[in-house]
Amino acid sequence: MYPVDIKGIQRSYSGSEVLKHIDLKIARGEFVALLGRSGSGKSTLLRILAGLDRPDGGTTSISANVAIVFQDARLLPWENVARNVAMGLTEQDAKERVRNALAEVGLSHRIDAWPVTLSGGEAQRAALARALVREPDLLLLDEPFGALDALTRIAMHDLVLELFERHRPAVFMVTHDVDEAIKLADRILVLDNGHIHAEFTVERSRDGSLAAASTSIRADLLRALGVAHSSGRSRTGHETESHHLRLAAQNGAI
Amino acid sequence: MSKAAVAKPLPSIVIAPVLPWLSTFAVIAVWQIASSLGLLQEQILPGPDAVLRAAWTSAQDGTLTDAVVASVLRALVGSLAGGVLAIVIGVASGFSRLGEFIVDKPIQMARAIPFTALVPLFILWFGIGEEPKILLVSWAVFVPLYLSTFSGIRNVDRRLVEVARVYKLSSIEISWRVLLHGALPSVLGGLRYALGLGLAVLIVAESVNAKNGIGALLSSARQYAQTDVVLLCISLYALLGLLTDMLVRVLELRLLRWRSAYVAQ
Ligand SMILES: Nc1ncnc2c1ncn2[C@@H]1O[C@H](COP(=O)(O)OP(=O)(O)O)[C@@H](O)[C@H]1O
Ligand SMILES: [Mg+2]
Repeated sequence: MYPVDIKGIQRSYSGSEVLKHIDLKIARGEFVALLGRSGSGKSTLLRILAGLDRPDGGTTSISANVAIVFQDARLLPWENVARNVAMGLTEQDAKERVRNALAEVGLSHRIDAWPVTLSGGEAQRAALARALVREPDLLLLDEPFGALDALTRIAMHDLVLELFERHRPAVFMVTHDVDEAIKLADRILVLDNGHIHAEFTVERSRDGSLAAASTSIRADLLRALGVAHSSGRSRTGHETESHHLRLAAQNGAI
Repeated sequence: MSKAAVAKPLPSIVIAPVLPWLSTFAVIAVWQIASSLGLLQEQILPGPDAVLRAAWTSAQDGTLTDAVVASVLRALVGSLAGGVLAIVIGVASGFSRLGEFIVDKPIQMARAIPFTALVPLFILWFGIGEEPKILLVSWAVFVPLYLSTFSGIRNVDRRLVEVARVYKLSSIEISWRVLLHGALPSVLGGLRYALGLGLAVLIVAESVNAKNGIGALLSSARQYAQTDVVLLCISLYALLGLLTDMLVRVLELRLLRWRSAYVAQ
């Protein structure tokens, strides 16, 4: 049983087909990132996985135990952090679990705080605790670090990786940041024109650095996204290729 | 207590609660002085001392207490019934399209009817007992509170509802934890206005037709040209209005703590 197993998903909004035919399987312990231009339908796909939107066609089989983190933390402003994290928990030991989850994201000292008093990074960590406290089979992330400053974002990347290693849910993360996708994901999909237009597996060595086979992945991704260079769509020619890599190196600095 | 502390001006904590009352006290003081100097005609505007004397005598023979108890009971029962109904129906119709179609349109139309126009109709329908008065208060409280609840719910951030749905809160839980709480600032604003309106409508209903209550006292005082009792009744209404306002303020302080938390930090 895959936490995500969807076939032939279609979704249109008032006549325009946002998703034309999407097949996707995600196993437990697999971290999948979805890249795509703004408006390409990434959030639409994520919302279908979350059960917040219905596809017009196709079949879906999605785990019932889903958690979600959006770009904005979406905490209830009138409930303190602990009550927010406990949302929907019915277990006897909910209090204990909330405390543990907040400790895991390093927010124990803010357990009684009102959401308006949290910084952006703290609010996002509370949202992450709310997601993890229920040990989800599937964790959905919709540009979860998009609103954070660069330093906080790096800290959050490390936190998410650490939590992912510990809990091993299936993760589906929408992002428009190529470097973020490479840093976090095992598999990167590129959504374009309603299809999964390209797919990359990120091979890592033991120490977590990119394996030799994956060193060109950044350039490949930029090309798949059509953003590298005006002649970037060309698939031939070593010159273009090395130009991409140089460009990637310039933009780089993970 | 050090000597330096004595020299300091009064801390604002002591002054702040008194300030808003200063102008009221000043007006009453001027009124009393003018009356004592014989500048005011007793029949037109008796002084505050006369009003207090009227309060004392009518409290002695029990008419004041009876009137206040009768009016407050009607206001309480009517406000409670109208208030609970307004919030329940407001949440339901704010939550669902169907609810909106069924109840919102008729209420939007009914709000245009002036309450005083309903007084004779309610008396014809329900007679001269307690029912028409309580129903009028309920109606007067219901309409504005319903409207502010409905619009409050419609303005709650839908993205919060999405999160609640992903985490499998039931419709009842979403209504309570997300929608009603999100609508509270608007609901409480509506409540303040609704309770004031309920009181005003009660006065009208009681003075048109009632054996007891502040409105009845008012209307008989007018008949016998007891200006001091008329002023007493007006003061009582002002006092009741003040009390309801304080009640709503206490509710706001308690229920909207999360809003002020940032400022308080
Ligand atoms: N509820 C909706 N109603 C109409 N159009 C929508 C709705 N949600 C998304 N869309 C449209 O679908 C397209 C994809 O949106 P979205 O999935 O949010 O893109 P992305 O997350 O990739 O930026 C956009 O053109 C957007 O305008
Ligand atoms: Mg999006």
